[in-house]
Amino acid sequence: MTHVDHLLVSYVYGTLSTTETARVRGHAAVCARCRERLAREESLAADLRLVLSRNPAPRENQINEWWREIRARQMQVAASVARPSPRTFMFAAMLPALLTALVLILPVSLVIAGQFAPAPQTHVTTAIYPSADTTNQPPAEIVLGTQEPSHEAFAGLVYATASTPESGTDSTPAPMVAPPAP
Amino acid sequence: MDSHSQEAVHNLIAQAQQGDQTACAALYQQHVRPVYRLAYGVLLDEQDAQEVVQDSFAYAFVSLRRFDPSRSAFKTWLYTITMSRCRNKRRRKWFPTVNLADIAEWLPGHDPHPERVVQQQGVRDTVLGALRELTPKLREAIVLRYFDGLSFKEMAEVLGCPQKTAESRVRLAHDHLYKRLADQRDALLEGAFGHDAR
Repeated sequence: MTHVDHLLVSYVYGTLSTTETARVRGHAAVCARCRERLAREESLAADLRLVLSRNPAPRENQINEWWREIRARQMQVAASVARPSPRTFMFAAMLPALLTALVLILPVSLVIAGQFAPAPQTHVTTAIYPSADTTNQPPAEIVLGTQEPSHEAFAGLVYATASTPESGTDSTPAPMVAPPAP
Repeated sequence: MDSHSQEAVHNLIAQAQQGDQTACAALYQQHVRPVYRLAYGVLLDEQDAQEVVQDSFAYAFVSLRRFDPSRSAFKTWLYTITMSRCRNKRRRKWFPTVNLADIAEWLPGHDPHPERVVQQQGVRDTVLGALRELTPKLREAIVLRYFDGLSFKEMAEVLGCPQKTAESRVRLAHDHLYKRLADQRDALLEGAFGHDAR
């Protein structure tokens, strides 16, 4: 005899096909075990239905209060879609200041660059190289022919204008002077 | 739901999708009670259920444009959102609790037999206690099946699982509940609620 445990819940719900329903009924008629289990399922289903149907229902004032909250959230979402995000807003606020700073800095930079930019010439002195100590040595000339100054030279210029020489960082060792005799 | 009321719901949804707040309010009024009861049944906590209701409707109305009535019923779609919010809530709050004062509040206050009220409360506590011991998936299945009589097909849609899985979960939950309630079986059968439903 094959028991029908796996069909009992669906039988209680009435979701079985006609054939399966007939099978459960026929089997329960002759099987005390499955008959008892069927009664158990029906009893449990009735209790659950009853207990869960008595779950608390919200009160009217709660329902209205929730609706106000939901509406407020909807409006927040709608406003956030229409309004730029805080980051966008901050960038927009800073944009004039950035542009002003750019307008002020750019000409100054260009003037500095123009002041120190080497004119197209055949000879470029090492004066544009800050690392060389030119105070005690004659300038070593680099012949570049008729070429325009290279990017490296220009980069060196910018570096020279932006940095300040520090004592002790010079690669050229200081001349050793013997201490005076006591 | 008959075809007339179905058509009315479809009209409301179409209007709500166009941003009609009156239609949104009508949809809310139609569904807020079952959604609350579903959330409460799964979470067994009044405060959490209230928050889930608000989250669910707020999300549903914002996402309403994406809802396709040809693919699922509005109720099922809303329950799916609610179930998802319940799961999120449960993850944040590992141990659900029930306020006993609330349970007493749900019981009918006009019952002329106080001993019957006490008995009902005992049965209710027992059943709720057994429900609380179910795994979340089994409890979801039981609540969906019993609080609103969803079919296995609808349950599968809401739970995001095959129909056979939904059936299997209900069966497993029944087995667990029966074992858990076996001690109180006599009291249950004697009919603390009067057993008019039995």
